[in-house]
Amino acid sequence: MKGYSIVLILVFPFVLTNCRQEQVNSEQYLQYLDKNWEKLTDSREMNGIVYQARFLPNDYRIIERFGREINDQKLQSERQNLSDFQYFQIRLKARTGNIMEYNTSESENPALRQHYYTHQFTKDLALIDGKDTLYCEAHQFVPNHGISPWISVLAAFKVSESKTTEKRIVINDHIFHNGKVILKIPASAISQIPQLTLDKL
Amino acid sequence: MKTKHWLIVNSIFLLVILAIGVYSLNQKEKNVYLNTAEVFEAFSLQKELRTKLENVQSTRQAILDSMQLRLTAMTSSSDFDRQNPGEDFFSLREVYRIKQKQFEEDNLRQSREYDRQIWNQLNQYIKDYGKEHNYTMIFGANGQGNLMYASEARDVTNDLISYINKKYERI
Repeated sequence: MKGYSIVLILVFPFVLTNCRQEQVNSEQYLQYLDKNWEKLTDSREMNGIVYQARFLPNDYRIIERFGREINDQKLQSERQNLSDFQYFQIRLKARTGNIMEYNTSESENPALRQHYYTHQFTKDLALIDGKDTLYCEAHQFVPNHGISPWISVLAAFKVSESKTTEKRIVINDHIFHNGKVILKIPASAISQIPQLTLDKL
Repeated sequence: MKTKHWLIVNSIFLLVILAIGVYSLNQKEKNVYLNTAEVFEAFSLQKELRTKLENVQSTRQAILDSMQLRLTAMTSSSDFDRQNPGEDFFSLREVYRIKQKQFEEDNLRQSREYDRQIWNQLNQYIKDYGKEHNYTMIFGANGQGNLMYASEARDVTNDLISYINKKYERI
């Protein structure tokens, strides 16, 4: 019993320090993300179409919008504004050629495709977050203008009540007739993201 | 001393022969086959879409049944005039016919779209499976004579079913 207690005393501080989120400043935060985007991203190819989903932490979106020199007050208020939602960047590209023209027919021209991704894509997106299935609340389409191979969609989902769990983005693709495509971001990748603390600046 | 040398030379020779054997075995074409119908039936997406289609079809059928019931109720009513059934009867019968045709077409279109989605995904997963296992060819046996005989040892159906379902669910 005494030995057991000693082991507990020795192990407990170790567990405690490892469970705590690391605190970093904005510079370190961005450096961490640059190195670890791969863990927060999943992609898969299906019949010539590459699907990709990336989890975008809210603090990253704040720094991206207001710059690294954001003050603590602004950070807190923006965190509050974004706290109801979680954001994902969903990208699609064709293995060859421009995705907006890939396998198009007369009835399915690039303009209709653009209209679909701009206005209707929301209804074909879902997020399985733990035990909850969440539907896309809002999305913003970024066209490729024929320059980039990727088209990109920023999708917002309500924050689930379950703790940090694996996130599964479900794309129901009937444009390229590939059906349900699932992309997975592991819970460990999300829980390892350090906490942005401006006091450290 | 000489015998020892011979032993070493012989062992090296045997090892080289063995290595060449293993290498050529690995280089040999690897062909396997799968039972197409079994793979299709066991694919999770197929099960999901079939349930979805059945639900939609039964909802559509319920709408038609209710219209049919109203038509039957009209015709079996005591004040129904068979010589002059009236505007209500004709319009309901017309709506019923239009709906029936529309539902039949929609069911067919939806079923074709689902089949397309299922086969698109299956083809991709079978390709991935073949690449991962270095197979030269994967044949699809559907019991219609395109593959007349193959040893059961070459049947990858069960392994493939588990592979495609894991891939689909992203496990």
